Amino acid sequence: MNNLTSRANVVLANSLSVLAILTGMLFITTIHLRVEPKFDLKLNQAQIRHTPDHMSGKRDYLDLTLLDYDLDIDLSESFHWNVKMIFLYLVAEYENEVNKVNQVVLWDRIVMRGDNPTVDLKSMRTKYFFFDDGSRMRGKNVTISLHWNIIPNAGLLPNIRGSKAVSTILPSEYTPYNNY
Amino acid sequence: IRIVIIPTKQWYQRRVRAMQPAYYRGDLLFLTNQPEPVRVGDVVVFRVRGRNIPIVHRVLKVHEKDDGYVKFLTKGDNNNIDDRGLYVDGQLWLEEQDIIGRVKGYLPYVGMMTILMNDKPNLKYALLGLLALFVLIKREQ
Repeated sequence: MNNLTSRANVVLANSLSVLAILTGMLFITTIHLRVEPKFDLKLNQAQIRHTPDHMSGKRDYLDLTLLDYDLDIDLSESFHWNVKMIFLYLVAEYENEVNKVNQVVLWDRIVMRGDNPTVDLKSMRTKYFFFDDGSRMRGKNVTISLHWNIIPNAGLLPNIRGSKAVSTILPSEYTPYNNY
Repeated sequence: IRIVIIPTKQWYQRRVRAMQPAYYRGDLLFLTNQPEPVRVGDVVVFRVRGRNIPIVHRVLKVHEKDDGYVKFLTKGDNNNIDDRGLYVDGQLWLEEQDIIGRVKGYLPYVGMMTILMNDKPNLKYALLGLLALFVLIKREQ
């Protein structure tokens, strides 16, 4: 009985130690790796509307930017052995009289290791409504960039910003609703 | 730097599914609480005012004024809608003071033992019973 339990004890302790060491090595051998997917972003059209954010339950009228864009991403070389998942997100940033920093996520996607590694969006609407905190969006210069969050099997969770970004000046007038 | 185990209580389970498949119950998250600007994409741990339960979600929108006052909106990666339904009635934004920490590192499964013990107290008693048994049985070698 003692033999069995002490053997089981040693096996358990050893396997836990081995697992811990392997995990540590997984982390250390991949710290320096940079994940840089290839991507292409094209802005086709931008319109601004003046409307309440109905989902918020508040009645005040805000500026809403409607964007039409193309997005191509290739992640096939991005999944090194310490990447479990990549969280992609498209960010719009601008500055106005009310707020120095405005950041809005327009679109995001979860890509697991093994999923289809390409994103091929044409003439897309934004996944999330691009509202302003108020109505100071017209004529503003907005920069749209792609970011990704690497979820490792074990280790750090970096947020990386893609080097290519697209900037545009938003329309200076609202687009009326009957203009299709 | 603080270490937090993703919540094990029953109440939480819904929320934890909200960040799957990145984080599951039993994963270990490493948090920092250095003051740094809140930016979209950050995964933050926050508490809704008046409730004691920390939530781990991602920042979706940020509006920051010249004087540094910042308000932001969060959403679980796996959820279809943002967190406004979780905030206090009528509250549309979180503020810096609501943040407990930011998630910077991650280890899977490490907290599973604790969760198993909490979920199945019988397991805890069984293990304690076994340990007691071994102590009693073991002869001096």
